Amino acid sequence: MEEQGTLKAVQDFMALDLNDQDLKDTISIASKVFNAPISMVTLIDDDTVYIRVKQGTKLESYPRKLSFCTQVIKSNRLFVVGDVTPSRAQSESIEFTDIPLIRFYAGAPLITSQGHRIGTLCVVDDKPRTVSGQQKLMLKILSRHVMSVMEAKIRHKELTASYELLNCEREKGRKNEIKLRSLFESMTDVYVYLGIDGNIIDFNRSAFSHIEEHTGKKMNYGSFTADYLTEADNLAFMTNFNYALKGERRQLEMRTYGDPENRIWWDALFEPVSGTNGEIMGVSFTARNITKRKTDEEKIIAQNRLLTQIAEIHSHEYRGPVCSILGMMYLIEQEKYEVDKEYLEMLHVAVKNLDEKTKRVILLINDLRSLEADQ
Amino acid sequence: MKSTFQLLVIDDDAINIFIIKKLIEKTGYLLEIISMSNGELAIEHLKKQNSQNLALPDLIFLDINMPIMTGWEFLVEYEKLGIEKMIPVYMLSSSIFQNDIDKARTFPNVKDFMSKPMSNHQLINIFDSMGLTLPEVTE
Repeated sequence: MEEQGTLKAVQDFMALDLNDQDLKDTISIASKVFNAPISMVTLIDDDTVYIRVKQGTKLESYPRKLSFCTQVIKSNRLFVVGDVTPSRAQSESIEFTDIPLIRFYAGAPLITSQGHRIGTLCVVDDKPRTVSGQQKLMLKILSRHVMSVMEAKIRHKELTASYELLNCEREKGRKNEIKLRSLFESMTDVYVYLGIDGNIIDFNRSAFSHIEEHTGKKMNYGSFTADYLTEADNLAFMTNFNYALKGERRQLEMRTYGDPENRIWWDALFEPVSGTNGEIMGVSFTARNITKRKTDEEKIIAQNRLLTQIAEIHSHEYRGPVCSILGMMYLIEQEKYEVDKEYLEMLHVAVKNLDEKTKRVILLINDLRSLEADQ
Repeated sequence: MKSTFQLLVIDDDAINIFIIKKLIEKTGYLLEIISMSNGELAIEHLKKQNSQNLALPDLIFLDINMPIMTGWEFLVEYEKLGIEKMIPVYMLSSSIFQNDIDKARTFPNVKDFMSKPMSNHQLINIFDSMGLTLPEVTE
Protein backbone atom coordinates (compact mmCIF):
# COMPACT_ATOMS: atom_id res chain seq x y z
CA MET A 1 0.00 0.00 0.00
CA GLU A 2 1.49 3.28 -1.00
CA GLU A 3 1.19 6.27 1.33
CA GLN A 4 -1.35 9.00 0.66
CA GLY A 5 1.15 11.53 -0.58
CA THR A 6 2.48 9.24 -3.23
CA LEU A 7 -0.98 8.22 -4.40
CA LYS A 8 -1.96 11.85 -4.71
CA ALA A 9 1.16 12.56 -6.69
CA VAL A 10 0.43 9.63 -9.00
CA GLN A 11 -3.07 11.01 -9.53
CA ASP A 12 -1.71 14.44 -10.42
CA PHE A 13 0.69 13.01 -12.95
CA MET A 14 -1.98 10.73 -14.35
CA ALA A 15 -4.00 13.82 -15.16
CA LEU A 16 -1.23 15.13 -17.36
CA ASP A 17 -1.25 14.83 -21.08
CA LEU A 18 2.04 13.06 -21.79
CA ASN A 19 1.70 13.01 -25.56
CA ASP A 20 4.98 14.79 -25.80
CA GLN A 21 7.76 14.55 -28.38
CA ASP A 22 10.47 15.05 -25.77
CA LEU A 23 9.21 12.05 -23.80
CA LYS A 24 8.85 9.97 -26.91
CA ASP A 25 12.42 10.79 -27.89
CA THR A 26 13.62 9.96 -24.42
CA ILE A 27 12.16 6.48 -24.40
CA SER A 28 13.41 5.97 -27.90
CA ILE A 29 16.94 6.72 -26.67
CA ALA A 30 16.40 4.30 -23.78
CA SER A 31 15.47 1.59 -26.32
CA LYS A 32 18.58 2.32 -28.36
CA VAL A 33 20.80 2.30 -25.28
CA PHE A 34 19.76 -1.29 -24.55
CA ASN A 35 19.06 -2.23 -28.11
CA ALA A 36 15.63 -3.37 -27.05
CA PRO A 37 12.41 -2.71 -28.97
CA ILE A 38 10.10 -1.92 -26.05
CA SER A 39 10.45 1.04 -23.72
CA MET A 40 7.87 2.83 -21.56
CA VAL A 41 7.12 5.37 -18.92
CA THR A 42 4.81 3.91 -16.29
CA LEU A 43 2.81 5.40 -13.42
CA ILE A 44 1.89 3.04 -10.60
CA ASP A 45 -0.91 3.42 -8.06
CA ASP A 46 -2.21 0.90 -5.48
CA ASP A 47 -3.20 -1.81 -7.88
CA THR A 48 -2.31 -0.92 -11.45
CA VAL A 49 0.66 -0.10 -13.61
CA TYR A 50 -0.32 2.45 -16.25
CA ILE A 51 1.79 2.68 -19.39
CA ARG A 52 1.73 6.38 -20.20
CA VAL A 53 4.42 6.75 -22.87
CA LYS A 54 5.27 3.75 -24.96
CA GLN A 55 7.28 2.35 -27.79
CA GLY A 56 7.01 -1.17 -29.18
CA THR A 57 3.79 -2.09 -27.39
CA LYS A 58 0.18 -1.13 -27.42
CA LEU A 59 -0.58 -2.17 -23.84
CA GLU A 60 -2.30 0.48 -21.72
CA SER A 61 -2.04 -1.03 -18.27
CA TYR A 62 -1.68 -4.22 -16.23
CA PRO A 63 -2.10 -5.38 -12.67
CA ARG A 64 0.56 -4.25 -10.31
CA LYS A 65 1.13 -7.53 -8.54
CA LEU A 66 2.83 -9.05 -11.48
CA SER A 67 5.37 -6.55 -12.38
CA PHE A 68 9.00 -5.90 -12.28
CA CYS A 69 8.08 -2.21 -12.15
CA THR A 70 6.65 -2.66 -8.68
CA GLN A 71 9.93 -4.05 -7.59
CA VAL A 72 11.67 -1.01 -8.97
CA ILE A 73 9.65 1.47 -6.95
CA LYS A 74 9.75 -0.68 -3.88
CA SER A 75 13.49 -0.95 -3.89
CA ASN A 76 13.84 2.64 -5.06
CA ARG A 77 16.68 1.80 -7.36
CA LEU A 78 17.49 0.52 -10.69
CA PHE A 79 16.42 -3.01 -11.31
CA VAL A 80 17.83 -5.02 -14.10
CA VAL A 81 17.22 -8.59 -15.03
CA GLY A 82 19.46 -9.52 -17.92
CA ASP A 83 18.07 -13.02 -18.20
CA VAL A 84 14.59 -13.67 -16.91
CA THR A 85 13.86 -17.25 -15.95
CA PRO A 86 11.25 -18.76 -18.19
CA SER A 87 8.73 -19.31 -15.36
CA ARG A 88 9.04 -15.75 -14.22
CA ALA A 89 8.95 -14.63 -17.80
CA GLN A 90 5.73 -16.50 -18.23
CA SER A 91 3.85 -14.66 -15.48
CA GLU A 92 5.35 -11.30 -16.36
CA SER A 93 4.46 -11.57 -19.99
CA ILE A 94 0.90 -12.60 -19.32
CA GLU A 95 -0.45 -9.19 -20.09
CA PHE A 96 2.00 -8.37 -22.79
CA THR A 97 0.25 -9.92 -25.70
CA ASP A 98 2.48 -8.27 -28.28
CA ILE A 99 5.70 -9.95 -27.14
CA PRO A 100 6.23 -13.72 -26.72
CA LEU A 101 8.14 -13.73 -23.39
CA ILE A 102 9.94 -11.05 -21.44
CA ARG A 103 13.47 -12.29 -21.07
CA PHE A 104 15.06 -8.90 -20.40
CA TYR A 105 13.97 -6.04 -18.13
CA ALA A 106 15.67 -2.84 -17.04
CA GLY A 107 13.83 -0.20 -15.08
CA ALA A 108 14.64 2.99 -13.17
CA PRO A 109 12.29 4.58 -10.63
CA LEU A 110 10.69 7.96 -11.33
CA ILE A 111 11.05 9.99 -8.15
CA THR A 112 9.37 13.44 -7.77
CA SER A 113 11.15 16.38 -6.17
CA GLN A 114 8.98 15.64 -3.12
CA GLY A 115 10.44 12.17 -2.92
CA HIS A 116 7.40 10.23 -4.12
CA ARG A 117 8.07 7.15 -6.26
CA ILE A 118 5.34 7.37 -8.80
CA GLY A 119 6.43 5.00 -11.54
CA THR A 120 9.29 3.82 -13.81
CA LEU A 121 11.17 4.31 -16.99
CA CYS A 122 11.79 0.79 -18.25
CA VAL A 123 13.03 -1.18 -21.18
CA VAL A 124 11.90 -4.70 -22.10
CA ASP A 125 12.81 -7.40 -24.64
CA ASP A 126 12.23 -11.03 -25.45
CA LYS A 127 15.97 -11.75 -25.72
CA PRO A 128 18.26 -11.82 -22.72
CA ARG A 129 21.47 -9.80 -22.62
CA THR A 130 24.12 -8.51 -20.32
CA VAL A 131 24.09 -4.90 -19.26
CA SER A 132 27.01 -2.55 -18.67
CA GLY A 133 27.41 0.00 -15.95
CA GLN A 134 27.27 2.73 -18.52
CA GLN A 135 23.93 1.50 -19.84
CA LYS A 136 22.58 1.50 -16.29
CA LEU A 137 23.84 5.03 -15.79
CA MET A 138 22.19 6.12 -19.02
CA LEU A 139 18.92 4.67 -17.83
CA LYS A 140 19.22 6.53 -14.58
CA ILE A 141 19.94 9.82 -16.36
CA LEU A 142 17.08 9.30 -18.76
CA SER A 143 14.70 8.57 -15.91
CA ARG A 144 15.68 11.84 -14.25
CA HIS A 145 15.02 13.64 -17.50
CA VAL A 146 11.57 12.09 -17.80
CA MET A 147 10.83 13.26 -14.26
CA SER A 148 11.86 16.87 -14.96
CA VAL A 149 9.80 16.99 -18.12
CA MET A 150 6.75 15.74 -16.24
CA GLU A 151 7.26 18.08 -13.32
CA ALA A 152 7.65 21.00 -15.68
CA LYS A 153 4.31 20.06 -17.19
CA ILE A 154 2.66 19.97 -13.79
CA ARG A 155 4.05 23.38 -12.88
CA HIS A 156 2.90 24.75 -16.19
CA LYS A 157 -0.59 23.43 -15.55
CA GLU A 158 -0.69 25.07 -12.12
CA LEU A 159 0.53 28.38 -13.50
CA THR A 160 -2.10 28.35 -16.20
CA ALA A 161 -4.80 27.73 -13.60
CA SER A 162 -3.55 30.64 -11.48
CA TYR A 163 -3.47 32.88 -14.48
CA GLU A 164 -7.05 31.93 -15.37
CA LEU A 165 -8.16 32.76 -11.83
CA LEU A 166 -6.40 36.09 -11.92
CA ASN A 167 -8.03 36.93 -15.20
CA CYS A 168 -11.42 36.00 -13.78
CA GLU A 169 -10.92 38.26 -10.79
CA ARG A 170 -9.75 41.08 -12.98
CA GLU A 171 -12.82 40.70 -15.16
CA LYS A 172 -15.09 40.77 -12.11
CA GLY A 173 -13.31 43.85 -10.86
CA ARG A 174 -13.74 45.49 -14.22
CA LYS A 175 -17.46 44.71 -14.32
CA ASN A 176 -17.92 46.12 -10.82
CA GLU A 177 -16.10 49.24 -11.82
CA ILE A 178 -18.42 49.67 -14.77
CA LYS A 179 -21.45 49.24 -12.53
CA LEU A 180 -20.12 51.77 -10.03
CA ARG A 181 -19.20 54.16 -12.77
CA SER A 182 -22.65 54.09 -14.32
CA LEU A 183 -24.15 54.66 -10.89
CA PHE A 184 -22.05 57.76 -10.33
CA GLU A 185 -22.71 59.09 -13.77
CA SER A 186 -26.46 58.66 -13.46
CA MET A 187 -26.61 60.48 -10.12
CA THR A 188 -28.08 63.93 -10.29
CA ASP A 189 -26.12 64.69 -7.17
CA VAL A 190 -22.73 66.22 -7.65
CA TYR A 191 -19.86 63.86 -6.84
CA VAL A 192 -16.18 64.76 -6.55
CA TYR A 193 -13.42 62.63 -5.09
CA LEU A 194 -10.35 64.46 -3.80
CA GLY A 195 -6.95 63.21 -2.74
CA ILE A 196 -5.21 64.26 0.47
CA ASP A 197 -3.69 67.28 -1.25
CA GLY A 198 -7.10 68.46 -2.32
CA ASN A 199 -6.44 67.42 -5.92
CA ILE A 200 -9.46 66.27 -7.90
CA ILE A 201 -9.09 62.57 -8.58
CA ASP A 202 -12.54 61.77 -9.83
CA PHE A 203 -15.87 63.41 -10.54
CA ASN A 204 -19.18 62.60 -12.22
CA ARG A 205 -21.13 64.17 -15.03
CA SER A 206 -23.30 66.24 -12.70
CA ALA A 207 -20.25 67.85 -11.13
CA PHE A 208 -18.75 68.58 -14.53
CA SER A 209 -21.98 70.04 -15.90
CA HIS A 210 -22.55 72.19 -12.86
CA ILE A 211 -19.10 73.74 -12.99
CA GLU A 212 -19.28 74.27 -16.72
CA GLU A 213 -22.70 75.89 -16.46
CA HIS A 214 -21.70 78.25 -13.68
CA THR A 215 -18.12 79.13 -14.52
CA GLY A 216 -17.72 78.15 -18.16
CA LYS A 217 -14.68 76.08 -17.13
CA LYS A 218 -14.26 72.38 -17.85
CA MET A 219 -13.33 70.35 -14.78
CA ASN A 220 -10.36 68.04 -15.28
CA TYR A 221 -8.46 65.44 -13.30
CA GLY A 222 -5.64 66.72 -11.16
CA SER A 223 -7.01 70.24 -10.84
CA PHE A 224 -8.13 71.86 -7.60
CA THR A 225 -11.42 73.29 -6.35
CA ALA A 226 -9.72 76.67 -6.14
CA ASP A 227 -9.60 76.62 -9.94
CA TYR A 228 -13.38 76.71 -10.15
CA LEU A 229 -14.80 78.20 -6.95
CA THR A 230 -14.75 81.79 -5.75
CA GLU A 231 -12.35 82.52 -2.92
CA ALA A 232 -15.16 82.66 -0.37
CA ASP A 233 -16.77 79.45 -1.58
CA ASN A 234 -13.44 77.65 -1.73
CA LEU A 235 -12.60 78.68 1.81
CA ALA A 236 -15.85 77.15 3.04
CA PHE A 237 -15.22 74.03 0.97
CA MET A 238 -11.65 73.52 2.14
CA THR A 239 -12.58 74.03 5.79
CA ASN A 240 -14.96 71.11 5.60
CA PHE A 241 -12.53 69.15 3.44
CA ASN A 242 -9.87 69.45 6.12
CA TYR A 243 -12.21 68.21 8.82
CA ALA A 244 -13.03 65.19 6.70
CA LEU A 245 -9.35 64.58 6.07
CA LYS A 246 -8.90 64.20 9.82
CA GLY A 247 -11.63 61.58 9.83
CA GLU A 248 -14.65 63.71 10.70
CA ARG A 249 -17.68 63.16 8.52
CA ARG A 250 -19.27 66.52 7.71
CA GLN A 251 -22.89 66.80 6.63
CA LEU A 252 -24.33 70.29 6.36
CA GLU A 253 -26.41 72.70 4.31
CA MET A 254 -24.19 75.16 2.49
CA ARG A 255 -25.00 78.17 0.42
CA THR A 256 -22.71 79.59 -2.22
CA TYR A 257 -21.78 83.25 -1.99
CA GLY A 258 -22.66 85.78 -4.63
CA ASP A 259 -25.77 87.61 -5.87
CA PRO A 260 -28.88 86.61 -3.96
CA GLU A 261 -30.59 85.61 -7.22
CA ASN A 262 -27.78 83.25 -8.16
CA ARG A 263 -27.06 81.66 -4.81
CA ILE A 264 -27.41 77.94 -4.60
CA TRP A 265 -28.23 75.88 -1.51
CA TRP A 266 -26.52 72.50 -1.18
CA ASP A 267 -27.12 69.57 1.12
CA ALA A 268 -23.45 68.55 1.23
CA LEU A 269 -21.56 65.55 2.59
CA PHE A 270 -17.79 65.41 3.08
CA GLU A 271 -16.87 61.80 3.80
CA PRO A 272 -13.34 60.57 4.60
CA VAL A 273 -12.25 57.63 2.46
CA SER A 274 -9.90 55.04 3.92
CA GLY A 275 -7.68 52.61 2.10
CA THR A 276 -7.38 48.90 2.94
CA ASN A 277 -4.71 49.72 5.51
CA GLY A 278 -7.09 52.02 7.39
CA GLU A 279 -5.30 55.25 6.50
CA ILE A 280 -7.34 58.09 5.05
CA MET A 281 -6.51 58.45 1.38
CA GLY A 282 -9.03 61.02 0.27
CA VAL A 283 -12.34 62.76 0.73
CA SER A 284 -15.55 62.03 -1.12
CA PHE A 285 -17.83 65.02 -1.68
CA THR A 286 -21.47 64.57 -2.65
CA ALA A 287 -23.98 67.38 -2.78
CA ARG A 288 -27.63 67.78 -3.64
CA ASN A 289 -29.06 71.03 -4.93
CA ILE A 290 -31.76 72.06 -2.46
CA THR A 291 -32.20 75.63 -3.60
CA LYS A 292 -35.79 75.04 -4.56
CA ARG A 293 -36.60 73.49 -1.22
CA LYS A 294 -34.92 76.35 0.61
CA THR A 295 -36.60 79.08 -1.36
CA ASP A 296 -39.89 77.26 -0.96
CA GLU A 297 -39.27 77.17 2.79
CA GLU A 298 -38.57 80.88 2.83
CA LYS A 299 -41.69 81.49 0.78
CA ILE A 300 -43.80 79.44 3.16
CA ILE A 301 -42.47 81.43 6.09
CA ALA A 302 -43.40 84.67 4.35
CA GLN A 303 -46.83 83.29 3.50
CA ASN A 304 -47.37 82.28 7.08
CA ARG A 305 -46.39 85.72 8.25
CA LEU A 306 -48.98 87.24 5.95
CA LEU A 307 -51.63 84.74 6.95
CA THR A 308 -50.95 85.46 10.60
CA GLN A 309 -51.32 89.15 9.96
CA ILE A 310 -54.62 88.56 8.18
CA ALA A 311 -55.82 86.36 11.03
CA GLU A 312 -54.76 89.02 13.53
CA ILE A 313 -56.77 91.64 11.74
CA HIS A 314 -59.78 89.40 11.46
CA SER A 315 -59.76 88.45 15.09
CA HIS A 316 -58.68 91.63 16.79
CA GLU A 317 -58.55 94.65 14.61
CA TYR A 318 -62.05 94.35 13.21
CA ARG A 319 -63.39 94.18 16.73
CA GLY A 320 -62.51 97.75 17.52
CA PRO A 321 -64.54 99.38 14.72
CA VAL A 322 -67.35 96.81 15.12
CA CYS A 323 -67.62 97.57 18.84
CA SER A 324 -67.76 101.27 18.04
CA ILE A 325 -70.57 100.69 15.54
CA LEU A 326 -72.44 98.54 18.04
CA GLY A 327 -71.91 101.14 20.76
CA MET A 328 -73.23 103.91 18.53
CA MET A 329 -76.27 101.86 17.53
CA TYR A 330 -76.95 101.19 21.20
CA LEU A 331 -76.87 104.92 21.93
CA ILE A 332 -79.10 105.70 18.97
CA GLU A 333 -81.54 103.01 20.08
CA GLN A 334 -81.58 104.47 23.60
CA GLU A 335 -82.58 107.85 22.08
CA LYS A 336 -85.36 106.01 20.28
CA TYR A 337 -83.69 106.70 16.96
CA GLU A 338 -84.22 110.43 17.26
CA VAL A 339 -80.69 111.74 17.35
CA ASP A 340 -78.62 114.72 16.31
CA LYS A 341 -76.57 114.68 13.19
CA GLU A 342 -73.53 114.29 15.46
CA TYR A 343 -74.47 110.68 16.24
CA LEU A 344 -74.80 109.71 12.58
CA GLU A 345 -71.50 111.39 11.76
CA MET A 346 -69.84 109.34 14.46
CA LEU A 347 -71.43 106.21 13.07
CA HIS A 348 -70.14 107.11 9.66
CA VAL A 349 -66.58 107.44 10.99
CA ALA A 350 -66.83 104.04 12.66
CA VAL A 351 -68.02 102.44 9.43
CA LYS A 352 -65.18 104.06 7.52
CA ASN A 353 -62.65 102.68 10.04
CA LEU A 354 -64.01 99.22 9.45
CA ASP A 355 -63.75 99.77 5.74
CA GLU A 356 -60.08 100.74 6.14
CA LYS A 357 -59.36 97.54 7.98
CA THR A 358 -61.00 95.38 5.32
CA LYS A 359 -58.99 97.15 2.65
CA ARG A 360 -55.80 96.28 4.51
CA VAL A 361 -56.79 92.65 4.52
CA ILE A 362 -57.38 92.79 0.78
CA LEU A 363 -53.87 94.17 0.26
CA LEU A 364 -52.34 91.44 2.39
CA ILE A 365 -54.24 88.77 0.49
CA ASN A 366 -52.92 90.33 -2.70
CA ASP A 367 -49.38 89.98 -1.38
CA LEU A 368 -50.12 86.34 -0.61
CA ARG A 369 -51.34 85.79 -4.15
CA SER A 370 -48.20 87.27 -5.68
CA LEU A 371 -46.01 85.05 -3.48
CA GLU A 372 -47.89 82.03 -4.70
CA ALA A 373 -47.59 83.20 -8.31
CA ASP A 374 -43.79 83.30 -7.91
CA GLN A 375 -43.58 79.55 -7.40
CA MET B 1 -65.30 121.97 48.55
CA LYS B 2 -64.93 118.41 47.43
CA SER B 3 -63.68 118.26 43.88
CA THR B 4 -65.72 116.49 41.22
CA PHE B 5 -65.23 112.79 40.64
CA GLN B 6 -62.82 112.46 37.75
CA LEU B 7 -62.74 109.64 35.23
CA LEU B 8 -59.73 109.23 32.94
CA VAL B 9 -60.47 107.31 29.73
CA ILE B 10 -57.41 106.12 27.83
CA ASP B 11 -58.51 104.94 24.36
CA ASP B 12 -57.25 105.63 20.85
CA ASP B 13 -60.78 105.31 19.42
CA ALA B 14 -62.51 108.70 19.51
CA ILE B 15 -65.87 107.10 18.81
CA ASN B 16 -65.54 104.90 21.86
CA ILE B 17 -64.80 107.94 24.00
CA PHE B 18 -67.90 109.64 22.57
CA ILE B 19 -69.97 106.55 23.41
CA ILE B 20 -68.68 106.45 26.98
CA LYS B 21 -69.39 110.14 27.50
CA LYS B 22 -72.94 109.81 26.19
CA LEU B 23 -73.59 106.68 28.24
CA ILE B 24 -72.39 108.38 31.40
CA GLU B 25 -74.63 111.35 30.62
CA LYS B 26 -77.58 108.99 30.38
CA THR B 27 -76.81 107.45 33.76
CA GLY B 28 -77.30 110.82 35.40
CA TYR B 29 -74.14 110.64 37.44
CA LEU B 30 -72.19 113.82 37.36
CA LEU B 31 -68.50 113.39 36.81
CA GLU B 32 -65.65 115.01 35.02
CA ILE B 33 -64.38 113.02 32.08
CA ILE B 34 -60.94 113.50 30.59
CA SER B 35 -59.66 111.41 27.76
CA MET B 36 -56.20 110.61 26.40
CA SER B 37 -55.76 108.99 23.01
CA ASN B 38 -52.72 106.90 23.95
CA GLY B 39 -50.86 105.59 26.98
CA GLU B 40 -47.84 107.81 26.52
CA LEU B 41 -49.89 111.00 26.72
CA ALA B 42 -51.69 109.59 29.75
CA ILE B 43 -48.39 108.87 31.54
CA GLU B 44 -47.16 112.38 30.79
CA HIS B 45 -50.41 113.87 32.11
CA LEU B 46 -50.34 111.82 35.32
CA LYS B 47 -46.67 112.58 35.91
CA LYS B 48 -47.37 116.30 35.63
CA GLN B 49 -50.45 116.18 37.85
CA ASN B 50 -48.63 114.19 40.47
CA SER B 51 -45.53 116.34 40.59
CA GLN B 52 -47.51 119.53 40.83
CA ASN B 53 -49.82 118.07 43.42
CA LEU B 54 -52.79 118.63 41.15
CA ALA B 55 -55.91 116.50 41.00
CA LEU B 56 -55.43 112.93 39.97
CA PRO B 57 -58.29 110.84 38.49
CA ASP B 58 -60.50 108.73 40.79
CA LEU B 59 -61.13 106.07 38.15
CA ILE B 60 -59.40 104.95 34.98
CA PHE B 61 -60.87 103.19 31.98
CA LEU B 62 -57.95 101.72 30.03
CA ASP B 63 -58.19 100.35 26.48
CA ILE B 64 -55.92 97.35 25.85
CA ASN B 65 -55.38 97.54 22.13
CA MET B 66 -53.67 100.88 21.43
CA PRO B 67 -50.82 101.99 19.18
CA ILE B 68 -47.55 103.42 20.60
CA MET B 69 -48.20 102.00 24.06
CA THR B 70 -50.68 99.22 24.80
CA GLY B 71 -52.83 99.10 27.93
CA TRP B 72 -50.44 96.58 29.50
CA GLU B 73 -47.43 98.70 28.74
CA PHE B 74 -49.19 101.70 30.31
CA LEU B 75 -49.68 99.78 33.55
CA VAL B 76 -45.97 98.97 33.75
CA GLU B 77 -45.08 102.65 33.31
CA TYR B 78 -47.81 103.71 35.71
CA GLU B 79 -46.32 101.58 38.51
CA LYS B 80 -42.98 103.30 37.95
CA LEU B 81 -44.63 106.66 38.63
CA GLY B 82 -45.15 105.59 42.26
CA ILE B 83 -48.40 107.43 42.68
CA GLU B 84 -49.65 106.94 46.21
CA LYS B 85 -53.33 107.29 45.44
CA MET B 86 -54.98 103.94 44.80
CA ILE B 87 -56.79 104.54 41.50
CA PRO B 88 -58.93 101.62 40.35
CA VAL B 89 -58.47 100.62 36.70
CA TYR B 90 -60.98 98.88 34.44
CA MET B 91 -59.57 97.41 31.27
CA LEU B 92 -61.56 97.81 28.07
CA SER B 93 -61.33 95.09 25.48
CA SER B 94 -63.01 94.54 22.14
CA SER B 95 -62.88 90.73 22.48
CA ILE B 96 -62.81 88.42 25.46
CA PHE B 97 -59.68 86.78 24.12
CA GLN B 98 -57.79 89.90 25.14
CA ASN B 99 -58.77 89.34 28.76
CA ASP B 100 -55.55 88.00 30.21
CA ILE B 101 -56.71 87.39 33.76
CA ASP B 102 -53.34 86.14 34.98
CA LYS B 103 -51.64 89.23 33.66
CA ALA B 104 -54.28 91.46 35.30
CA ARG B 105 -53.55 89.83 38.66
CA THR B 106 -50.00 91.17 38.59
CA PHE B 107 -51.32 94.75 38.75
CA PRO B 108 -53.07 95.43 42.04
CA ASN B 109 -55.20 98.34 40.85
CA VAL B 110 -56.79 96.46 37.93
CA LYS B 111 -60.29 95.61 39.10
CA ASP B 112 -61.92 93.96 36.10
CA PHE B 113 -62.31 93.70 32.35
CA MET B 114 -65.13 95.30 30.43
CA SER B 115 -66.11 94.28 26.94
CA LYS B 116 -66.84 97.01 24.42
CA PRO B 117 -69.44 98.26 23.83
CA MET B 118 -70.28 99.02 27.42
CA SER B 119 -73.76 99.20 28.85
CA ASN B 120 -75.30 101.70 31.28
CA HIS B 121 -75.69 99.01 33.89
CA GLN B 122 -71.99 98.23 33.96
CA LEU B 123 -71.25 101.91 34.48
CA ILE B 124 -73.89 102.30 37.18
CA ASN B 125 -72.47 99.31 39.05
CA ILE B 126 -69.01 100.75 38.95
CA PHE B 127 -70.06 104.17 40.15
CA ASP B 128 -72.13 102.64 42.92
CA SER B 129 -69.28 100.54 44.10
CA MET B 130 -67.15 103.64 44.31
CA GLY B 131 -69.66 105.39 46.47
CA LEU B 132 -70.93 107.83 43.91
CA THR B 133 -74.43 109.06 44.34
CA LEU B 134 -76.87 110.50 41.92
CA PRO B 135 -77.31 114.21 42.23
CA GLU B 136 -80.46 115.45 43.96
CA VAL B 137 -83.20 116.15 41.52
CA THR B 138 -84.37 119.63 42.29
CA GLU B 139 -87.83 120.19 41.17
